[in-house]
Amino acid sequence: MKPSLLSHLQTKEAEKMTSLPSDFLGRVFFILQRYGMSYLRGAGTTLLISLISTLFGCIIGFGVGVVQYLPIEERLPWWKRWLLVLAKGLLKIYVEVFRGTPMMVQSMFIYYGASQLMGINMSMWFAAFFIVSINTGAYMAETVRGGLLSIDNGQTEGALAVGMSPIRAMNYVLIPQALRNIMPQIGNNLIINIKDTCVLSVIGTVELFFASKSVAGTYYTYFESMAIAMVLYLTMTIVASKLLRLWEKKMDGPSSYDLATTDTLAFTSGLLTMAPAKKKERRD
Amino acid sequence: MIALVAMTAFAGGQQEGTKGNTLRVGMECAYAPYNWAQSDSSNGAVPIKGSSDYAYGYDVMMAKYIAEELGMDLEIVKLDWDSLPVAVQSGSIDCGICGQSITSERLQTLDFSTPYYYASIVALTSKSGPFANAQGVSDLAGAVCTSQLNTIWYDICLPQIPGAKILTALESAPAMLVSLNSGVSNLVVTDQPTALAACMAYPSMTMLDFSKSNDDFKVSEEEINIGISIRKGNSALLEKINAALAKLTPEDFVSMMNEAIAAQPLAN
Repeated sequence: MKPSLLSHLQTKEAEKMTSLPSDFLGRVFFILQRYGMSYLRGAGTTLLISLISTLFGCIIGFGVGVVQYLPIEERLPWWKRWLLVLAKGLLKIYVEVFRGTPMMVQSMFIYYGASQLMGINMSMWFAAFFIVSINTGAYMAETVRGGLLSIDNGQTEGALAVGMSPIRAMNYVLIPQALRNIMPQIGNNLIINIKDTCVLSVIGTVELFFASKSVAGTYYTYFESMAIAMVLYLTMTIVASKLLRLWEKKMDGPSSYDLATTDTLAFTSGLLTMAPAKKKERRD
Repeated sequence: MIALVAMTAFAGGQQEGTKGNTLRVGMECAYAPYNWAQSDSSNGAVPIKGSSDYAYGYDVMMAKYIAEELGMDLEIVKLDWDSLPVAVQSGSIDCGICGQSITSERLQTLDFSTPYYYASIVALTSKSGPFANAQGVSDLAGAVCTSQLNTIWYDICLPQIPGAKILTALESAPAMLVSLNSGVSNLVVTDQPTALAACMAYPSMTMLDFSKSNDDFKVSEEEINIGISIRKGNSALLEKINAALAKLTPEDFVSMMNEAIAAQPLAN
């Protein structure tokens, strides 16, 4: 009965070639026709998780990074110093653990571990956001610390000299400049997140990769379904990097400016003595 | 610490699915004809949790039957093959109906129901390849072969081929078929329903079934049985599922599988 069932199915297949074409492009269009919406929804889930988690990750990263940056000064009262050392130690452990283990292992450990060891049945969505955010946070913490270190000491000294409190100096002078410096890194993290959410398939998040795996297992067409996923991933990452580049440009402000030569106050005060409007021609 | 508190608080509100009257069944939804995903509810497909797709296939038919017998609502959870056992052990799902064969290794960490399908073992090869007319396992000598990771096909059947060059095990059935189709391997071993589906997707492949000859793959009877995995010690559910399965005969299994094979997206 087995060979007959096989030959029956194969002839049935040959009769109506409308079912699954044999060429690559034909198969791609065939899959898109039937599973296009699944792909789009998968891509939507991927985008949603990576965008929101990158945002939360940045918030976590800024908190942790700023604490790690704070110097332990001798003039602080003993309990403040002790608290700072403790906080720094704990945050260091957090950063090392989440930066030093693969996200797939973390997802398995957190999602199923919470259920098995503590009886907590987390929602899959919460687990997904939680894992990606906390991961991004660990990477961002180091980035933010680096960003703050890259700002010249003179900036802090200047801010303090004009009478700002250390907190104001941090908020209005240091962080805005550090933010601009680490913008490319935030973009990097977003793009990494768009790609790396694919590991969430181990906890059952139906994002783009898992959706394409479904199609691959339904039609047994690996190349075709993964080719579609690849194009979608690439589209998302390219659009994301272009948008971030635009945002960076906006943060930089205008790229050219005119020197004010009509500012009478500047002239009368003697700060500016000569209008540099005309170029001097060199003559030997 | 804050995260832990938040996690606990959030989880408190997420208890709706636990126990109660819902049977949470895990499967890949990517293993036709056992289980697959489709975009509509045709044939009586069941919605996949956390997704707008639907699941159907032999496993879903079986899950629907069991849920009905138990008087429970059915919830299909789509999971990765490797995380299915973990999900059952941790209690994230009540049982796995996902084409798992009952092996002694799996029995150490999971309980299994009585078989809900008997999957005969076959080989797949290219119609134009050297093994297309093989009559038995000894005819496959020297094959470059592979199969799926953590299966009896890879662990027990492949070493029986004389002089075989066994490649690394692959993570899924589609990956195994790509390996055969691309020529990386020239033989793969799998079960009959998967092989039938594969021959439809790749008309250049042919199925070698040695079950009528004396030169078949030698596996113990219990190893080709496919069972439902349940958390170790959950004997209440195990007994109920076994009672429901006892009402079906092996002939019922075959006719249900033929129905699934005919209904799979590949065949339509």
